[in-house]
Amino acid sequence: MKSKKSFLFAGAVLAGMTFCYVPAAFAADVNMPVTAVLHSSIDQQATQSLDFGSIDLSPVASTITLNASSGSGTPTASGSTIISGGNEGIISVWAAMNMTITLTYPNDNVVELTNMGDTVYVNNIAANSQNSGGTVGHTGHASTPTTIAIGGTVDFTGNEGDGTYSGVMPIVLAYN
Amino acid sequence: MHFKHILFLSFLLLLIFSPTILVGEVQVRIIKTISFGTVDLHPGGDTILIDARTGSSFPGSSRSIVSEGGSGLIRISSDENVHMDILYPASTIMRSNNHSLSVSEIDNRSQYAFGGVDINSDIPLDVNIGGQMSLIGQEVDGNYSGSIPITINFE
Repeated sequence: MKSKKSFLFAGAVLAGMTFCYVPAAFAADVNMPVTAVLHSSIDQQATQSLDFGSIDLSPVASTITLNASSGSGTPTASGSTIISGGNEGIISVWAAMNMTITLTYPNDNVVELTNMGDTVYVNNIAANSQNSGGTVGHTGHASTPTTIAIGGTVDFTGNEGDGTYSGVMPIVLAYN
Repeated sequence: MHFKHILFLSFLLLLIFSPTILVGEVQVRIIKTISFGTVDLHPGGDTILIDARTGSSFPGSSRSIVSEGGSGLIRISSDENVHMDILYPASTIMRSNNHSLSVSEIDNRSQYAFGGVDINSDIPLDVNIGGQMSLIGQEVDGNYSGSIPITINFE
């Protein structure tokens, strides 16, 4: 009798479960590939070096000035110093999109031109360069660059030795 | 307890804890992957956006030059009427060598991200996937790739 009750109970539970079936929730996972290609058209180069020319230096102190604020320039000298040749420096910027370029030039007594043991400085760079260290607008184009002319002044005491004086002028370009 | 009792109770337990049988068939397929295209990024930074909340979309930007690309597409079909909730991640990472880009706002730029959607039997449902890249302008050129893990809950 007791075992018969057990079977009946189990059977009742089983029957109840059959009629209480509930459809289950389920999930699917998908991994969607995502890609991007970055390919910048922007390029900036010093396409012409700043050259103060060949200087027949007066033994008296003199200043060499290359004023490129209008877009180009050749060096001139104070006093009896004689100069031949020389040209403004040029920075060229290429980019396919429109943008504004802000230039930051070095302060005075930063840019050194050295030859053996002698050093002279390029000063007043912003005042003698195009846009005076402000901003330049660039119209986007695949192949036509925006150019910026660079100038400055060099002070000589008259005692500097002959030779080729050279150095590097760091200019910062910011884009917006 | 007799052996036949144990056997019967074991059978009962097996029925209680066995996986429920699935009714109907659901199919999920990736039709098109998501691509932000080729981006000539403005050096001052930009946001590249694919807004697919209302359907397929192409990438756009405010000052960069973007070519090609488009939203991703998933197609879901079922032979039963079923409700589904789509869970998108907020963001994911794409990589190119040692560099990475983040794709964000995936849930806010894709379809059916909130509230779910009902699928009618034998009528496929298209789900468009979007997102955005917020770039500072200094990112390194390259081919970036990654994946967006999406979970679809069916009821």
